[in-house]
Amino acid sequence: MNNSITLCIMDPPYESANTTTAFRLIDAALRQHIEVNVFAFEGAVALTVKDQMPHPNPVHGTTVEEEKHPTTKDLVVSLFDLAESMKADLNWVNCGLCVDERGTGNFIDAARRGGPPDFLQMVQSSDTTLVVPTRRD
Amino acid sequence: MSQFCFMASRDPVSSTDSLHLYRRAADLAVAGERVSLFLLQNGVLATQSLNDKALRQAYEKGVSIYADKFSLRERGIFANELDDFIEPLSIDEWLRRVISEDHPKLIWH
Amino acid sequence: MSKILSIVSTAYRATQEEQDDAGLWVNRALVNGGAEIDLLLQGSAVNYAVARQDPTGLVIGSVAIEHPAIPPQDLKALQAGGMQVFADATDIEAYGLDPEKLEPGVQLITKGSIAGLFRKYEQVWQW
Repeated sequence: MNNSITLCIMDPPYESANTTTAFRLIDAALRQHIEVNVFAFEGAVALTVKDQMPHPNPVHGTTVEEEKHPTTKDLVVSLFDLAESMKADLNWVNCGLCVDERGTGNFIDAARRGGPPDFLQMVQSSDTTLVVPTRRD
Repeated sequence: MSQFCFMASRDPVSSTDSLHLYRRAADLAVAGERVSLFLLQNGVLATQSLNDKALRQAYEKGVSIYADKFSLRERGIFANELDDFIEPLSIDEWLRRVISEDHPKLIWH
Repeated sequence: MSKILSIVSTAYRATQEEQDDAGLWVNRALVNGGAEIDLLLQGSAVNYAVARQDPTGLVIGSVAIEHPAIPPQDLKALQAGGMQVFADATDIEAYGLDPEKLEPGVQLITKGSIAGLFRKYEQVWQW
């Protein structure tokens, strides 16, 4: 029985259905008590930025409270809460060079800074690895 | 025998290499590998497109074809509209199936 | 360490402002860390194997991109590190590329043979 999975994700927030699927996969894995390692690479390092704020929606005519728009950092925090409640491990590493060039260093405390060696370690310690590419063609 | 789990996220009409993906899956199955195709996101549009023939051919060559229930519902495709060779699964159900195998190869498309 | 086949299919995505192709870069970093990886170029990324490319000289306002990615050089470095580099011959033909003008050492493989290639690796990663 597999007990651990590593995901490498690359899409920035609010740009791709890939991110939603990655979140759904992480959620499903944690609920099955599978350890999840996430290496956030490229634009995905912006998923956990603390400075994200929800907004009202003037097209819908809703206030911030009415729109209830969770930010991606809210979703990631919620995944960490889920991990704790399921007694499963969620490890989230943001690629440091990607963080630096994007200025996304102010990220949630549960995530940590790392690099390709961390991804490699995750791969070596996992039962399987999924890379979710960002593609434009 | 390895397990190849392709995750087909791209719509088959605008992404012409989806057909190549289905054929590659079929080739692996013919070679004796255990192969599945999980259609998700816009990949579920293949269940209704003119390209579903290619999906059926992959199935006939031994590829298990699954479609993400949420992606189907999100796009107004109902389970009873699917061809019988396509099995709708929730992402939890799909994960349970693939992760129960030894070191599955998860390949995103 | 498992043997990995990495596939790069999208070319020239932010290669100017990143000064790298992200897929090639991360694979080189992983190889430097001890991973055993071979590379397959597909789709527009087969153009990375074209030996003579010149992406230099871009200036935005007063800021010059001084070290843009030069993909064939990156492929050469990857090969020097022991990586086998394959390119999808069907896509090479589809893009009208002359095999004689490709970076030496890039191995052409038909689309029909890729399934066989997949079977040789423990993991297959799409970048």
